Amino acid sequence: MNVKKLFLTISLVILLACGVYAAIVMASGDPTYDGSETDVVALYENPQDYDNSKADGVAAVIVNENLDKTAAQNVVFSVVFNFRGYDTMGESFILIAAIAGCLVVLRKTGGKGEQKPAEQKEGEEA
Amino acid sequence: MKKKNIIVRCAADLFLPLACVFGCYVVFHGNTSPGGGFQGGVLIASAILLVFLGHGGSKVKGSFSERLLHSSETIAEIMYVVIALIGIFTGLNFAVNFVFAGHQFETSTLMNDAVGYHVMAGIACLLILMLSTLDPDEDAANESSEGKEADPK
Repeated sequence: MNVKKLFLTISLVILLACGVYAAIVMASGDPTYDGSETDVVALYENPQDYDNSKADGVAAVIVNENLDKTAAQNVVFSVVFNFRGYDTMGESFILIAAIAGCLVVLRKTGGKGEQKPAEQKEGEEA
Repeated sequence: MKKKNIIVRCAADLFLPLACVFGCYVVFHGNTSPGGGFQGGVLIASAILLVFLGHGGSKVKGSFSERLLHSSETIAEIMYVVIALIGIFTGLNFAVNFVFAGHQFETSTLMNDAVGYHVMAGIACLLILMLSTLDPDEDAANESSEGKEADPK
Protein backbone atom coordinates (compact mmCIF):
# COMPACT_ATOMS: atom_id res chain seq x y z
CA MET A 1 0.00 0.00 0.00
CA ASN A 2 2.74 2.43 0.93
CA VAL A 3 4.61 1.77 -2.32
CA LYS A 4 1.42 2.43 -4.25
CA LYS A 5 0.84 5.68 -2.39
CA LEU A 6 4.45 6.70 -2.98
CA PHE A 7 4.17 6.12 -6.74
CA LEU A 8 0.83 7.94 -6.80
CA THR A 9 2.28 10.92 -4.97
CA ILE A 10 5.35 11.09 -7.21
CA SER A 11 3.28 10.90 -10.40
CA LEU A 12 0.83 13.52 -9.17
CA VAL A 13 3.69 15.87 -8.25
CA ILE A 14 5.23 15.39 -11.69
CA LEU A 15 1.87 16.11 -13.34
CA LEU A 16 1.41 19.24 -11.21
CA ALA A 17 4.90 20.47 -12.07
CA CYS A 18 4.28 19.92 -15.79
CA GLY A 19 0.98 21.78 -15.53
CA VAL A 20 2.53 24.74 -13.75
CA TYR A 21 5.38 24.88 -16.30
CA ALA A 22 2.90 24.76 -19.21
CA ALA A 23 0.78 27.49 -17.63
CA ILE A 24 3.83 29.75 -17.20
CA VAL A 25 4.99 29.17 -20.78
CA MET A 26 1.52 29.79 -22.20
CA ALA A 27 1.06 32.96 -20.13
CA SER A 28 4.39 34.40 -21.25
CA GLY A 29 3.73 33.80 -24.98
CA ASP A 30 1.73 35.93 -27.38
CA PRO A 31 -2.05 35.48 -27.27
CA THR A 32 -3.47 33.53 -30.20
CA TYR A 33 -6.61 35.65 -30.35
CA ASP A 34 -7.06 39.20 -29.10
CA GLY A 35 -10.02 40.32 -31.20
CA SER A 36 -8.56 43.75 -31.86
CA GLU A 37 -9.24 43.72 -35.61
CA THR A 38 -12.73 42.23 -35.40
CA ASP A 39 -15.58 44.63 -36.18
CA VAL A 40 -18.54 42.95 -34.55
CA VAL A 41 -21.08 45.57 -35.66
CA ALA A 42 -20.15 45.28 -39.34
CA LEU A 43 -20.17 41.48 -39.11
CA TYR A 44 -23.66 41.51 -37.61
CA GLU A 45 -25.12 44.02 -40.03
CA ASN A 46 -23.73 42.58 -43.25
CA PRO A 47 -22.20 39.14 -42.74
CA GLN A 48 -21.83 38.31 -46.43
CA ASP A 49 -19.59 41.26 -47.32
CA TYR A 50 -17.48 41.08 -44.18
CA ASP A 51 -13.76 40.77 -44.88
CA ASN A 52 -12.39 38.00 -42.70
CA SER A 53 -9.03 37.63 -44.41
CA LYS A 54 -7.27 39.57 -41.64
CA ALA A 55 -8.93 37.72 -38.78
CA ASP A 56 -6.80 35.84 -36.29
CA GLY A 57 -7.31 32.88 -34.00
CA VAL A 58 -8.29 29.27 -34.48
CA ALA A 59 -11.64 30.07 -36.13
CA ALA A 60 -9.97 31.95 -39.00
CA VAL A 61 -7.52 29.08 -39.51
CA ILE A 62 -10.38 26.59 -39.65
CA VAL A 63 -12.43 28.66 -42.08
CA ASN A 64 -9.65 29.79 -44.42
CA GLU A 65 -7.32 26.77 -44.50
CA ASN A 66 -9.88 23.99 -44.15
CA LEU A 67 -9.33 22.47 -47.61
CA ASP A 68 -5.55 22.60 -47.39
CA LYS A 69 -5.43 20.99 -43.97
CA THR A 70 -8.12 18.30 -44.11
CA ALA A 71 -9.48 18.05 -47.71
CA ALA A 72 -12.96 17.90 -46.18
CA GLN A 73 -15.85 19.41 -48.11
CA ASN A 74 -17.83 20.43 -45.04
CA VAL A 75 -16.35 22.67 -42.39
CA VAL A 76 -18.55 21.32 -39.60
CA PHE A 77 -17.56 17.76 -40.48
CA SER A 78 -13.88 18.67 -40.48
CA VAL A 79 -14.27 20.32 -37.07
CA VAL A 80 -16.00 17.31 -35.55
CA PHE A 81 -13.76 14.59 -36.99
CA ASN A 82 -10.43 16.29 -37.71
CA PHE A 83 -9.82 19.28 -35.47
CA ARG A 84 -11.77 17.78 -32.58
CA GLY A 85 -11.11 14.10 -33.15
CA TYR A 86 -10.22 13.59 -29.50
CA ASP A 87 -13.56 15.08 -28.50
CA THR A 88 -15.53 12.65 -30.68
CA MET A 89 -13.51 9.73 -29.31
CA GLY A 90 -14.35 10.85 -25.77
CA GLU A 91 -18.05 11.07 -26.64
CA SER A 92 -17.94 7.52 -27.94
CA PHE A 93 -16.32 6.28 -24.74
CA ILE A 94 -18.96 8.12 -22.71
CA LEU A 95 -21.64 6.27 -24.70
CA ILE A 96 -19.92 2.94 -23.98
CA ALA A 97 -19.78 3.77 -20.25
CA ALA A 98 -23.44 4.80 -20.16
CA ILE A 99 -24.62 1.64 -21.90
CA ALA A 100 -22.46 -0.56 -19.67
CA GLY A 101 -24.10 1.10 -16.66
CA CYS A 102 -27.57 0.46 -18.09
CA LEU A 103 -26.58 -3.18 -18.68
CA VAL A 104 -25.61 -3.56 -15.03
CA VAL A 105 -28.81 -1.96 -13.77
CA LEU A 106 -31.40 -3.40 -16.15
CA ARG A 107 -30.19 -6.92 -16.82
CA LYS A 108 -31.33 -8.28 -13.42
CA THR A 109 -35.01 -7.79 -14.24
CA GLY A 110 -34.98 -10.25 -17.13
CA GLY A 111 -36.39 -13.17 -15.13
CA LYS A 112 -32.98 -14.52 -14.20
CA GLY A 113 -33.27 -13.19 -10.66
CA GLU A 114 -35.27 -16.22 -9.58
CA GLN A 115 -32.47 -18.60 -10.46
CA LYS A 116 -29.68 -16.78 -8.69
CA PRO A 117 -30.84 -17.30 -5.06
CA ALA A 118 -31.11 -21.04 -5.66
CA GLU A 119 -27.55 -21.16 -6.97
CA GLN A 120 -26.36 -19.20 -3.97
CA LYS A 121 -28.12 -21.59 -1.59
CA GLU A 122 -26.46 -24.53 -3.30
CA GLY A 123 -23.11 -22.83 -2.95
CA GLU A 124 -23.71 -22.20 0.76
CA GLU A 125 -24.66 -25.80 1.36
CA ALA A 126 -21.60 -27.06 -0.43
CA MET B 1 -49.44 -15.06 -28.70
CA LYS B 2 -52.16 -12.49 -29.26
CA LYS B 3 -51.44 -10.68 -32.49
CA LYS B 4 -51.48 -6.91 -32.75
CA ASN B 5 -53.85 -4.94 -34.91
CA ILE B 6 -53.25 -5.50 -38.63
CA ILE B 7 -52.99 -1.77 -39.32
CA VAL B 8 -50.18 -1.42 -36.77
CA ARG B 9 -48.40 -4.49 -38.10
CA CYS B 10 -48.56 -3.38 -41.74
CA ALA B 11 -47.49 0.17 -40.91
CA ALA B 12 -44.50 -1.16 -38.96
CA ASP B 13 -43.52 -3.47 -41.83
CA LEU B 14 -43.88 -0.59 -44.27
CA PHE B 15 -41.77 1.92 -42.37
CA LEU B 16 -39.08 -0.51 -41.17
CA PRO B 17 -36.99 -0.56 -44.41
CA LEU B 18 -37.58 3.17 -44.87
CA ALA B 19 -36.12 3.90 -41.44
CA CYS B 20 -33.11 1.67 -42.08
CA VAL B 21 -32.40 3.15 -45.53
CA PHE B 22 -32.81 6.72 -44.35
CA GLY B 23 -30.49 6.10 -41.40
CA CYS B 24 -27.85 4.58 -43.70
CA TYR B 25 -28.22 7.60 -46.00
CA VAL B 26 -27.64 10.01 -43.13
CA VAL B 27 -24.58 8.06 -41.97
CA PHE B 28 -22.92 7.69 -45.38
CA HIS B 29 -23.59 11.29 -46.43
CA GLY B 30 -22.41 12.75 -43.14
CA ASN B 31 -19.29 14.24 -44.74
CA THR B 32 -21.20 16.52 -47.10
CA SER B 33 -24.57 17.14 -45.49
CA PRO B 34 -26.01 17.78 -42.03
CA GLY B 35 -26.25 14.72 -39.87
CA GLY B 36 -23.44 12.25 -39.40
CA GLY B 37 -22.65 9.18 -37.42
CA PHE B 38 -24.46 9.98 -34.20
CA GLN B 39 -27.79 11.02 -35.69
CA GLY B 40 -27.84 8.35 -38.39
CA GLY B 41 -27.03 5.63 -35.89
CA VAL B 42 -29.98 6.61 -33.75
CA LEU B 43 -32.21 6.58 -36.84
CA ILE B 44 -31.15 3.03 -37.71
CA ALA B 45 -31.66 1.91 -34.10
CA SER B 46 -35.22 3.21 -34.19
CA ALA B 47 -36.07 0.18 -36.34
CA ILE B 48 -36.16 -1.85 -33.12
CA LEU B 49 -38.94 0.36 -31.81
CA LEU B 50 -40.91 -0.31 -35.01
CA VAL B 51 -40.46 -4.06 -34.53
CA PHE B 52 -41.65 -3.70 -30.94
CA LEU B 53 -44.70 -1.66 -31.93
CA GLY B 54 -45.70 -4.04 -34.69
CA HIS B 55 -44.82 -7.47 -33.34
CA GLY B 56 -44.35 -7.22 -29.59
CA GLY B 57 -41.49 -7.66 -27.20
CA SER B 58 -40.95 -11.39 -27.73
CA LYS B 59 -40.16 -10.85 -31.43
CA VAL B 60 -37.61 -8.21 -30.45
CA LYS B 61 -35.90 -10.66 -28.10
CA GLY B 62 -35.91 -13.35 -30.77
CA SER B 63 -34.71 -11.16 -33.63
CA PHE B 64 -31.80 -9.24 -32.12
CA SER B 65 -28.86 -10.50 -30.11
CA GLU B 66 -28.09 -8.12 -27.28
CA ARG B 67 -24.66 -9.61 -26.58
CA LEU B 68 -23.62 -9.36 -30.24
CA LEU B 69 -24.70 -5.71 -30.37
CA HIS B 70 -22.78 -4.90 -27.21
CA SER B 71 -19.59 -6.49 -28.52
CA SER B 72 -19.92 -4.87 -31.95
CA GLU B 73 -20.13 -1.53 -30.20
CA THR B 74 -16.67 -2.13 -28.77
CA ILE B 75 -15.41 -3.31 -32.17
CA ALA B 76 -16.62 -0.04 -33.72
CA GLU B 77 -14.80 1.98 -31.07
CA ILE B 78 -11.59 0.06 -31.81
CA MET B 79 -12.13 0.80 -35.52
CA TYR B 80 -12.40 4.52 -34.77
CA VAL B 81 -9.23 4.61 -32.68
CA VAL B 82 -7.21 2.57 -35.20
CA ILE B 83 -8.29 4.73 -38.15
CA ALA B 84 -7.50 7.86 -36.17
CA LEU B 85 -4.08 6.49 -35.16
CA ILE B 86 -3.10 6.00 -38.83
CA GLY B 87 -2.40 9.74 -38.87
CA ILE B 88 0.16 9.33 -36.08
CA PHE B 89 1.80 6.36 -37.79
CA THR B 90 2.30 8.43 -40.96
CA GLY B 91 4.02 11.19 -39.00
CA LEU B 92 1.10 13.60 -38.61
CA ASN B 93 -1.30 14.45 -35.81
CA PHE B 94 -4.11 12.38 -34.31
CA ALA B 95 -7.23 12.09 -36.46
CA VAL B 96 -5.69 14.01 -39.36
CA ASN B 97 -6.28 13.15 -43.00
CA PHE B 98 -3.21 11.37 -44.36
CA VAL B 99 -4.48 11.41 -47.94
CA PHE B 100 -3.64 14.98 -48.70
CA ALA B 101 -5.41 17.72 -50.57
CA GLY B 102 -6.52 17.18 -54.12
CA HIS B 103 -8.29 13.93 -53.30
CA GLN B 104 -11.98 13.71 -52.50
CA PHE B 105 -11.43 10.76 -50.19
CA GLU B 106 -10.70 11.46 -46.56
CA THR B 107 -10.03 9.21 -43.61
CA SER B 108 -12.56 11.02 -41.43
CA THR B 109 -15.30 9.54 -43.64
CA LEU B 110 -14.28 6.11 -42.37
CA MET B 111 -14.26 7.48 -38.82
CA ASN B 112 -17.77 8.78 -39.42
CA ASP B 113 -18.90 5.31 -40.53
CA ALA B 114 -17.29 3.77 -37.45
CA VAL B 115 -19.14 6.22 -35.20
CA GLY B 116 -22.40 5.43 -36.99
CA TYR B 117 -21.87 1.69 -36.45
CA HIS B 118 -20.98 2.32 -32.83
CA VAL B 119 -24.03 4.48 -32.05
CA MET B 120 -26.34 2.09 -33.92
CA ALA B 121 -25.16 -0.90 -31.89
CA GLY B 122 -25.16 1.01 -28.61
CA ILE B 123 -28.62 2.55 -28.90
CA ALA B 124 -30.06 -0.74 -30.17
CA CYS B 125 -28.63 -2.55 -27.15
CA LEU B 126 -30.05 0.14 -24.88
CA LEU B 127 -33.50 -0.06 -26.51
CA ILE B 128 -33.59 -3.85 -26.18
CA LEU B 129 -32.66 -3.55 -22.51
CA MET B 130 -35.35 -0.96 -21.83
CA LEU B 131 -38.04 -2.82 -23.77
CA SER B 132 -37.26 -6.03 -21.91
CA THR B 133 -38.18 -4.33 -18.65
CA LEU B 134 -41.45 -2.93 -20.00
CA ASP B 135 -43.91 -5.82 -19.65
CA PRO B 136 -42.05 -8.91 -18.48
CA ASP B 137 -45.09 -10.52 -16.86
CA GLU B 138 -47.28 -10.06 -19.90
CA ASP B 139 -44.67 -11.57 -22.21
CA ALA B 140 -44.18 -14.52 -19.90
CA ALA B 141 -47.97 -15.07 -19.71
CA ASN B 142 -48.23 -14.89 -23.49
CA GLU B 143 -45.41 -17.36 -23.97
CA SER B 144 -46.85 -19.81 -21.44
CA SER B 145 -50.36 -19.58 -22.96
CA GLU B 146 -48.82 -20.08 -26.40
CA GLY B 147 -47.12 -23.23 -25.18
CA LYS B 148 -50.38 -24.53 -23.73
CA GLU B 149 -52.18 -23.93 -27.00
CA ALA B 150 -49.46 -25.63 -28.99
CA ASP B 151 -49.37 -28.78 -26.89
CA PRO B 152 -52.82 -30.21 -27.80
CA LYS B 153 -52.20 -29.64 -31.48
